Amino acid sequence: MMWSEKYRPKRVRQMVGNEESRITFLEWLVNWKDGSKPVLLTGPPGTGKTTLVKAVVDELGYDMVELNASDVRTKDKLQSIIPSLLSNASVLGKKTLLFLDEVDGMSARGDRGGFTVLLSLLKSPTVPIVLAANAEVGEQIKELKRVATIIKFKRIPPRLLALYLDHVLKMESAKLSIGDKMRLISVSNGDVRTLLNEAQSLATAGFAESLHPTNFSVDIDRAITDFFSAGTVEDSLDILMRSEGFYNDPRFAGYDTEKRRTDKLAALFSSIVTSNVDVERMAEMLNILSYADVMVGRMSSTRQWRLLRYIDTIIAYKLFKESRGLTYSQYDIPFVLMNRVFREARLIRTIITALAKNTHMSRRRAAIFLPYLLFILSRSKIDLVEFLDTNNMDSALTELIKSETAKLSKVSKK
Amino acid sequence: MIRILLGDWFNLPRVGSDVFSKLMRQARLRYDRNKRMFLVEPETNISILTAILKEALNDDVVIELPCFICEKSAGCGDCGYLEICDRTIVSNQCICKECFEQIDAYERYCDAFSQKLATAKIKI
Repeated sequence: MMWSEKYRPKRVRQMVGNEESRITFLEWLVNWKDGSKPVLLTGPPGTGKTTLVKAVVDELGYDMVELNASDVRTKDKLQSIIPSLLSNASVLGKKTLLFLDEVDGMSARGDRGGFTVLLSLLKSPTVPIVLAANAEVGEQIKELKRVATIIKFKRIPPRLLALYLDHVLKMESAKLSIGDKMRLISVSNGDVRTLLNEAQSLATAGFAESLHPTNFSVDIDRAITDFFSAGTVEDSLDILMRSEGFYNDPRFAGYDTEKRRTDKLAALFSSIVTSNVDVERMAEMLNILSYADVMVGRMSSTRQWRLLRYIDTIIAYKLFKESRGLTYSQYDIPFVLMNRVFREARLIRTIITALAKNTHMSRRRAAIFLPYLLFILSRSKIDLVEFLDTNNMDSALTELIKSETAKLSKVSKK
Repeated sequence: MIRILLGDWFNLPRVGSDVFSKLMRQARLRYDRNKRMFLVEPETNISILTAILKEALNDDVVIELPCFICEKSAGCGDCGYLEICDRTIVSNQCICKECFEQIDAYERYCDAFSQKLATAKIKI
């Protein structure tokens, strides 16, 4: 069992650091009455926000309803949970507390409408509501600050980390040298969870990932080439794990050049698409990458970053057979082509927005129908100008749609 | 050198109304007119506070954390973790070397928290 879970304090008094914040939180909950403002606990990871809530709930005899980032927190879901929660404020004779962890992870897309429902709930609470977030800034946090009392959590001072580490080592009858303790405390940067995880690795396996960063810095180009030429699956997995690359959130397009260069999936993709393998083999490999990409996207959207470590294994085992003999290649789209892709994407987005607006559907749905609409327009004898005019489409769009349908006509003639 | 022990009232030389205003509004420092002294509150931004004072007084500002057990200064200047401890971003209390070296230091730290709860009249 992980030390970070085994030694997660069960009592508020057993925690270290953020003493004033802990007392403020206890004061709030002990004195809570109908209509009291909710609290928002903010602070870096591993500083005790979730631990505090769990310990207090246990000590004060509350039933806790917890929704964290891995749960679906859409409008529908919240609306189905909250009324029953509010009307059953005393489940099995206990008081109820609603805990929403990682509220800064609620996204406009993934948690459709959930945030609005949450805000309305916070304005008239009938049960104690506790929110927790790592971020202290951002649009959502700004909104939450208006309706909730903020309790800030800060990083734990190194000497208090040392105090807790000594306590855990004593409980485990384990020993670490003073130098190792210093280095662990230094790399954990005020985060108790990281400290205990690293200490456990060092005490039980004799190795802590963060203390040996040089072992994990194989250049992405060398790592990908070595991956393709590795003799066994285990070797290829080892190479992937030691590469300097990352799995970036595919939903976020704003990475800088360096971050894009060290994206492992992008590096594998560019190497595969520029190789000379036959189409079937390439399709097979791209399917595997696509699967991994979807998994990375889901892990990122639900903030289950610890699961990202398994992506190396998935890729190594699934891609190993098909990818022997390839080499690393960084494929850069030529500027002329890239410019055209961006320009056309912008035009298509404009058409989709207009179509969605005129047909009262979402842009995603409009995007599905657009090719069919263009196809029908290109094959029919409908007067395009008249059609667009009847449908109240902007005159500027006429040219765009005209050019798209002309392209389609050309393709169908060929 | 200006030494500020967190949790303790402290004096500052006259800083002028502009700097005073910055200390109140930006750093969110507390000032007591009767005592004519300042206090770092939980909402005080210590990074901003040190930056304002350093610029205004042209002197080094040293933040010291108090010991949660004995309530004296934690002795940050002589601490073995001085190099890796950014006192402007860590939580506002620590423990001093003497308390840390006690064989039952962790238990004493936990007891000190229970005592603080009793002082605040919070029963759990």
